[in-house]
Parts: sequence; C-alpha cells; structure tokens
Amino acid sequence: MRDGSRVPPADLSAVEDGRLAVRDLTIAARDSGGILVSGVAFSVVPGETVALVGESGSGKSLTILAMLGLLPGGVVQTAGDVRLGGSDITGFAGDSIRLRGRVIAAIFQDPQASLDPRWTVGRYLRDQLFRHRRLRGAAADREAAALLDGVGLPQPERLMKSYPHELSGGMAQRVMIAGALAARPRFLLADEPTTALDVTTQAQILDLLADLQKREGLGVLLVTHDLGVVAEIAHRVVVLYGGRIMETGDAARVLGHPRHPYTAALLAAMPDITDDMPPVAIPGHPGERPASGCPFHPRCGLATSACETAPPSLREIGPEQGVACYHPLPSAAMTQGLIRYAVG
Amino acid sequence: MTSAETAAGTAPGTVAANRRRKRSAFRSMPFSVCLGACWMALMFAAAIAAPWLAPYGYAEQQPLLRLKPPALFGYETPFWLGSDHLGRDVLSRVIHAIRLSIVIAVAGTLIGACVGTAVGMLAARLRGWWEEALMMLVDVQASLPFMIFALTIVAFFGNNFWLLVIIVGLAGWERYARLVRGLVVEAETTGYAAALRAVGADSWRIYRHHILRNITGALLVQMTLNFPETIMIETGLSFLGLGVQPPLTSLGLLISESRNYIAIAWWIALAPSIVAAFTTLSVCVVGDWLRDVSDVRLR
Repeated sequence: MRDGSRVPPADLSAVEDGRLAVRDLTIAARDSGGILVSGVAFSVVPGETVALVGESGSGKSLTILAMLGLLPGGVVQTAGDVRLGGSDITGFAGDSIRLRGRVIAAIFQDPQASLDPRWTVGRYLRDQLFRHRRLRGAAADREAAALLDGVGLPQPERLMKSYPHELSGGMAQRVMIAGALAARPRFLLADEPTTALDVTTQAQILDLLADLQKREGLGVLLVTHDLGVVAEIAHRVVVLYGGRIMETGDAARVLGHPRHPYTAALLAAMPDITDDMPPVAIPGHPGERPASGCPFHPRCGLATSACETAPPSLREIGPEQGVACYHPLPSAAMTQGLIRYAVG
Repeated sequence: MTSAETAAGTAPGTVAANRRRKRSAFRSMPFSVCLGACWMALMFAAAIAAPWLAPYGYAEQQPLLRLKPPALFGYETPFWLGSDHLGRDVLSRVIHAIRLSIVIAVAGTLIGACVGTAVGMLAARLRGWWEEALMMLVDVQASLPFMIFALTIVAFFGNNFWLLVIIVGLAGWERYARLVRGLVVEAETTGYAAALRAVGADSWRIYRHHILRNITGALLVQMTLNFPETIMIETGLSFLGLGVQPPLTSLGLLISESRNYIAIAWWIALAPSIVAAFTTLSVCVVGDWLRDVSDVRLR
C-alpha cells in the first residue's frame, strides 16, 4: 500500500495463453433443486467477441453471473468450472478473487443503477485505477481522462466532476466501460449492455465495444437477446434455450444457415425489412420447461418421441458449428444438393 | 474565485469541488434551519458549561423561598425562572437537566444507531439462516413492551446512569436494523454493489465506502426521529422512578415533578417543557436539512 508504484501481483502468467473457458456449468435453484442451467460449455479467446443469445429465462445472465462468482442467493452452481488459461477460477474462490475486475471485468444492463449515486465519475475512475494499478494523484487523473477519451466521452475534466444522475444512459454505460477497462482486463463480460438504452445509443455502444475489442485485444462475452446485435459484432455465437446450449459456432454460419430448429425459429421471429414475409412467433411460452428431454421439444415442429425422453448432446455438425438436436435442419450444401436433385 | 481554487478545479480534485458545494449549501441554509442550529448550539453550550452558567447549585434548597414566581415576568424574586417546592432555582435545575438529558439522548441515539446498523448490515450481508435469526431478534425487540423490558433490566442490574443510557439506546435499535437491512439488500441485489464486485471491489470496501455513504441520509432521518423519542423514554423512565434519580435532574424528571404544582406554580413546568419541545423540533429540522444537503441527487 505504501509503495505507490508497485502493481499488486496478479497471477498473470497463468493467463498468458488466455482462454476463458466454461465447462459443464450447471446451476440449480437452492430450494426446489430445479436445474436452471445445465452442462453449458464454451470459451472466449482474447480478441474475439462471443455472443450468448437466448430468450429471457434461458440462463444467459445466470451463466455470466456464475462466471463472475456473483450468483444471487437463491441459486447455486452444482457442477462445472470456469477456467482462465490453465487455472481454475470457479466462483473466484480463494486467491483468484484478485483476478475479478483485473483480468475479467463486467458491465451490466442498467448503467445508471450500476454506478454509486454518491460518487463522482472521477472518484470512481481514480478508485479503480488505484485499486488495480496503484495510480494516484496527477497520474491517476491523466489516466482517467485518457480512459474517458478512449470510450468516446468529450470534456473528461468536466465529466469527472459529474455525479451519475447527471449523465445520460449512454454516457453512464461509457463510464462503466471506462471503469471496467481501468484495470486493463483481458476479458469483458457484458450482460445486455444496451438493453436500457435507446436505439441510436445502442448502436454507438456496440460500435465502441467492437472497437475496444479490436484495439485492446479484449475478449468480449456479450449477453444479448438481440440477433441483430449478434450479426453486427459477434465472431462466434452460443444459442441458449432452457439452460442448455442449442447451437454454437461461427456467428455468420449459425445465423446464415441455422441447423437447430430453435435458432431457425428465432431468426424467423425477427422482422426483416427486405422481406415481405411477416415475422413468425415461436408458439408456446419460453418459461415452460418440460420435465425431460430437449427443453425446446414442446415448442418444436420437428419434435419426435426421442426428443421427449433425453436431451440431445451437443455434437459437431459442420466446420465450427455444433448443434444439440436429434433432427438438425439440413445444411446449406445439402439443401442445394436436394434442390439440384429435385430439379435435375 | 481565487487562483488556488481554479487550479484545484482544473486538476480534477473533487475535494475542492465538494468543499465548494458544501459551502454553497451552508450559505443557502433556510432561516428555520439556522434557528434550529442556533438552538442546538445553545443547548450544547449549556450542557458543557452548566456548572458555571447556573446561578445556584441544582440541589441547593432555600426553604424560605419556595414556589416563588419568575423574576423574568416581573415578580420581585431572586430567581429568573422562579423556584420549586423545595426552594430550588428552576433555571439552574433546567441547565443541569439539559446536560443530563442531552448526554442520554445523544448517547442513546448513537447506541441505537450503531447497534441497529451493524445488525441490519450483518443480516443483509449474510442472508439465509443468519438473516432470519437476526430479524427474529428484531421482531422480538419490536414486540416487547419497552417499559416492561426496562423494568426487568433495572430490577436485575440495579439503577445507574450508564445502564440508563444503554436502555434508552436499545429502545430504538430494531428500527435502524430493519431500515438498514432493507436498504442494503436493495443495493446488493439491484444496484451498484454487484457492479462494483464485478470490477473487483471487495465487500468491506463496498460496505464502508459505498453502501454506508448511501444510507447515511435515511439513517440521519431515522436518528432525528429517534432523538426526541429517547428524550421521551428517559422522561417516562424517570417518571416511573427508574430513570435519573433525584437529586440529579433531567428534563423528564423536572416535568414530572412539576406536574403536582401545575395549578399553583405553572413556571416549574414551563421552562423544561419549552426546552424539551424546542430541542426536539430543532433536531428534526436540522436533521431533515442535513439529509437534503448530503444527498447529491436532491441538489
């Protein structure tokens, strides 16, 4: 504490090969024992954006909270681990607590509620800079101004004296991002960072995230229910439904040629301005979870008796594409082949 | 604006900015708050300087000058505020009573606030089983008839001044505990606490620097509501003979003593009642104003 220049030791060597991986993550309700998230596994590498997509109740926010070790009181992680490089950081237990915020930082849905109403922006940033990098005084002020500049906020000097209620939603989210970046993390977990913002601001924040991911080589894990957002900035995508991974893979591939009926249904439910087809809602309610089998089978047009007995496991179905379905949709190549067969 | 101030303004030391903000808040202090603050200052001064301010000793009896009316109202007596049934100077007794009552009320309020805040924070932090247990304790305290509780304690431990302070302090802690628990749970579940954890702040830090600061306003209001109550509780206990013991005096004791003579010597009741009423009013007004200035969102 006394030595101002010393940066506290963070176990960065283990992070060098940098891969934030979740394996077999299972989360259950404490009282009822109901499984909320089951066997979720994916990874994020620095420099890429992975999108975690799903309707409300699909377990996407729980997944991110579990990764941060911030699960709310009523739920517990019953299996699985979170790994950073080679080391186990599940729940940030023990020594790895130092890595939270330092290597993995997070921003949340409602930026204005996420800032302490009594702390000025400057105080928040200086606090972050001191805690993670032992910067103080003029050095901290310079760095804080640079951070605000880096997230596209003009007039950092004035802004640093502002209280959160004096900021707009977009500005507050930018401040949150600046605060998260103060520690120079390798990964940024963003839990629906644009939901509380209006549409034009949403686009700006997404641009900023994409830009930061390129500039700083950040690994971004973006939780969203907006497929438009995914198409815009994600490299890879993980589609969740009912606490299970339905489909995963390269974003362009998954969105372009979905192999899982759920992904296809999600895409069909999106209004398309270039298409005369009206959006098609998925029948049923996202909340209803069957007692067994694939979580999507009650709402799936392709479901058979096999789907009702046991959930299908995630399997590789094409290059960089995995799907958990007994009846995957035909691939693009196959569709073309069929058409050719039918025509020819 | 001095050059030093502008320099501090450009280097974003918010200390300077905050100081400016606070100064302007004090400048725009409403008249009623100003009066309240002056009255409180006067009371504290009287409490500190009681032995020097009082013209007579608080137990000094002059049997020949019993129930003399106050000189302040034009009567030819040596007592500004009159004398009581034992020929004691009411002014001196009120000054000494202020001293005791203020110590009891301030210490009692602080004890209640500290105990309650600690219990509330613990409950909100630990959740689960601990929370249930602590909140059950709060419910027990809230449902207990306070006088019976106080009587029992006095019966077991005897009567002394500091015990009285503790009893008075324990009279309100459960309300602080409930209030604080609610506020902390709210901050923990919906707001900045989770966000701060996610960027690496530890619980101790979040509680000390963020949550405690944010609940100060509500705590302050609860304290200003509680302060008059501690005076009333002390009065009640003294009235039952469980509080301050004669010849020591407190505002409550003075009022209860005066009640027997209210028809023939109204002045014995007058001064302590006015002092008690003005003090509680001042505390409420000043406390409310303090909450408003301390909340950055209301500026």
